[in-house]
Amino acid sequence: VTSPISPSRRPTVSSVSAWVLRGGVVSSSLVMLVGIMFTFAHGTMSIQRMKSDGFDYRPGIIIEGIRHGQGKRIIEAGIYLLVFTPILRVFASSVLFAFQDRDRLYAVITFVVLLLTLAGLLWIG
Amino acid sequence: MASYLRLNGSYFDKRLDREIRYNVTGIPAAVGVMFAAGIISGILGIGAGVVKVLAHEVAMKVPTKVSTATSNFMIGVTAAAGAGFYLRRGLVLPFVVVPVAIFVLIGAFVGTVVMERMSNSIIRKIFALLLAIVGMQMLIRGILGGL
Repeated sequence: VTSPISPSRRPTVSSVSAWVLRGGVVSSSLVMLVGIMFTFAHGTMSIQRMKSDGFDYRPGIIIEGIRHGQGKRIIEAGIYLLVFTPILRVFASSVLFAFQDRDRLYAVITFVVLLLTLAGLLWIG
Repeated sequence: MASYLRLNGSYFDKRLDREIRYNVTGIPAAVGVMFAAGIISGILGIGAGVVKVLAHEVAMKVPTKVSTATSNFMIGVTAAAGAGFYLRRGLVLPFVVVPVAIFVLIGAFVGTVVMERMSNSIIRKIFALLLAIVGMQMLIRGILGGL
């Protein structure tokens, strides 16, 4: 993922992005797998449920469900993790561009991308 | 414009075993295509990767590997922006997400490793073939009125 010719050992935008993406994706998959295992362990898995049981985005309900070991809520937390991974990546890039590379142009571009993505995710529609 | 944005770059091609330099052109046209890509992705949920790769290759003249890699890199961000809409409406089925996400992720890891070792022309041919299959499928579904 990173360039083979790396001039220094300092974290670069590419190396940190790669690290955040891999970490986010792997941890989200693990959380979702745990959720599926809980669902099977409780014997509440069914094709009917797969087809009709929708995502409930309210964080309160998800946290409450996780406390009670509900598989579906654990999966929903994993989905949240998956959705926020690329956003965390853009956030990390904008911080690196601004404070490490001191690259004003790209710091502004990534920050605008971050705002637009968050707006899309949280408000629009 | 490309030099102001510092878009001209280079990548190390594993198959050719050397650094490849490239220059980027056609940015205004690409912006238009990208805008359309966003709308199409929102309507069809197909991920605008297909359209983005076209914009990269046809308008911006970026090498295929750089194009697919860039598109792959962006998709998560653009998809996240659209995902909120679906999530809030309960249109996402969590129990379907798990197998889909996990197997797509495994496939994606394998795909990137394979991609690095393939030639740009082979990748372009595979891409064209897939585009044709997806296009045919959508056409057939649209005409027969499936769903």
